[in-house]
Amino acid sequence: MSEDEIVIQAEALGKKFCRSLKRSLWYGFTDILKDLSPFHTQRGDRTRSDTLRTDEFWALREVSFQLKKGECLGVIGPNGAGKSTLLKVLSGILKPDTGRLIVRGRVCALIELGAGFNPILTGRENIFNRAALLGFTRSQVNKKFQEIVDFAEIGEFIDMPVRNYSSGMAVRLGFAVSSHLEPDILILDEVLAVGDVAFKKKSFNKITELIDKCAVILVSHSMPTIFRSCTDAILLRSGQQVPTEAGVGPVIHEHLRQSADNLDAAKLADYFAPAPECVVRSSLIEADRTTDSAVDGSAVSVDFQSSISIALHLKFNTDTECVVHAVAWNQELISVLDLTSRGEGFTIEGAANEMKIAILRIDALPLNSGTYNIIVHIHTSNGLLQQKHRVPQNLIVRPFTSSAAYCISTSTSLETQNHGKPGPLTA
Amino acid sequence: MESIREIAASLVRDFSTARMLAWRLFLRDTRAQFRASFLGYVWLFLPPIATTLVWIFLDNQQVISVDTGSVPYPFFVLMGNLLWTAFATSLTGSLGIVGEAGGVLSKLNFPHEALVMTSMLKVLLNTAVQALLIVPAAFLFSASLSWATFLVFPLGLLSLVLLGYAIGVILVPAATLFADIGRSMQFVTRFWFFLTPVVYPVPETGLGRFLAQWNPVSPLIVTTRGLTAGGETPLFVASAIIFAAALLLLLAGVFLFKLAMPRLIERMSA
Repeated sequence: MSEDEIVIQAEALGKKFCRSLKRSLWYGFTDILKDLSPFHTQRGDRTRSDTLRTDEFWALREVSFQLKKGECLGVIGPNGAGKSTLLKVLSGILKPDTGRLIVRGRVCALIELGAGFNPILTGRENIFNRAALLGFTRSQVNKKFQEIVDFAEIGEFIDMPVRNYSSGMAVRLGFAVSSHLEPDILILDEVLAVGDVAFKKKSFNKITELIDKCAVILVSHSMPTIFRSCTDAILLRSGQQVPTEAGVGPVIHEHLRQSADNLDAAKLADYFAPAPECVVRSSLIEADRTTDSAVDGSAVSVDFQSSISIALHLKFNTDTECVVHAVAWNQELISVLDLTSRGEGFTIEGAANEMKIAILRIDALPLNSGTYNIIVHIHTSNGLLQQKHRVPQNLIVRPFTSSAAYCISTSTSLETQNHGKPGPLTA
Repeated sequence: MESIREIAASLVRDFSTARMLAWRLFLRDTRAQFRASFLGYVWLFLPPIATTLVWIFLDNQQVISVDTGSVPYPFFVLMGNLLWTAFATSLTGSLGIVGEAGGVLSKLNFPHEALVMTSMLKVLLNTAVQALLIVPAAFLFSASLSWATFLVFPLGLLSLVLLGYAIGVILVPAATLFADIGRSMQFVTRFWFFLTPVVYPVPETGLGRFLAQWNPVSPLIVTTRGLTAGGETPLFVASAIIFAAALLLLLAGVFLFKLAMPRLIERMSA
């Protein structure tokens, strides 16, 4: 692609904010005076500053990237990393304190649900308000008006005051306006998360449609969304861009790896039914003797495709049958693997006051790298939940592929066939 | 300075977008304002009528005795009030334009001069509606209006709006950062009201005359009222100078506003 098609060029962008309110207002005042003074101006640019004054901190520091039409950039990172600040700098709402930003084309940003809406007016009237703020005239909007209303699917509520809308309805309307007015650059902060599944599908289909003619920047906390929609990604942490290998997968992996450093894989409080018939007293994960594993008090680390066993010490309180079902959950709190090949769980019979040890063996664990929690559910044979038990140790699978997929199929193979002449593929 | 050239260029470039947006925001805010109110547009008329009634009462009861020559006092006061209100609402209304738009400023990027224009449209609407009071009032108080009224009175109102706006816009950056300015403006205008010949004619001698002469609002009020209802000597030269100065001040204010906006937004944003 030629240089002409680059729509966003960001070089070493930096932005600082001030912690103290009074000092911040004072700095604002002195900055305006400096901007006015001919002695401070450098080549007509607003006054730049590379240093921090008292109480100031860098919200963004040295962020650089390039974006062309047809590309979708994912911006991920923990809360407070500077993602929204970056989006505001890219949309021109904030001016950078260091670095250079070149933006070619019209930007439509969806940074907050209700920006530009007057709550007393109806959804219909607010379409024109939002469009005008994005720079579109009434006639331009009229051409697309019906499409926008149909896309938003708010039905009869389009004629109701916006202040009565739920956040899902507000985002439908906001996104309908921003995406139908043919921007060159579409910026989406993590607002689409409030929509329902049907809306999520619709909005991602729309983004896919738009991508050919525009560049998209997407901020999301949902890694599957980022992996699915984005062609490239950057990871921000405390305002700085974390260097990673190229590709969406490695960036996601690094983000999850860094999140795991701070906190243990999510815990679930054990649940007990009022008078349980069977409970797990304790549990343990062990790796197969042939597996290269490392064990410390709280975790078992293994390689991909290792074999492990989970030992459950069960106590029966009455003569009964119980059903044991185990699921592995990842750091994003998604249940990625059902460890019970029987589907509905293994049935175990027991007698009152009996202790039994149940050992689940899993050969060739198909989990991709990451940190996992194993949660075991115990039900009675007629389906009443007796206990939810979290195996105290985490299961860590060491880095394997850079794909962001949760599981890897170990039974796929590839075969190539030679072709004599070009023609339809023969069976 | 290079930045002045840049600002001028961006003002010209964004003018049609800003104008379109200003009109849309004006429609939006005005509709919303009256949709939620039962009395609606009546609220535009009430303040000057109410104030005028108070002054008429005071004069009637001989609590305050004012000699306004050939012009009936109630009419004198009503006109003065209308002219003063045009100035005062313009001044106080313009100070808050950035603060009020805080939410949308930190979420969407748009030509900010639209906020200045929208605010002016609102003030003009208010002023125009109140100006309509003149005709029924003249009948009511048996005042005589000169033929020039229908040309001069709107022009006079416009010049007062312009003056109020010019002073307000220059102060906007400081007023947005420091709430003290907006607050103090409320009682500065109250005080200013009494130092201006709104409810009394220009005094012949003394401190009152001095203040009335040097008060930039006075010549505009005196000239407009004099040409319309008679009874006062119009001050043409002074009015022309103030009008021109207000235009220049407004232009400077708009440039300062454009320059300061990025700084104001980063200090305000949420």
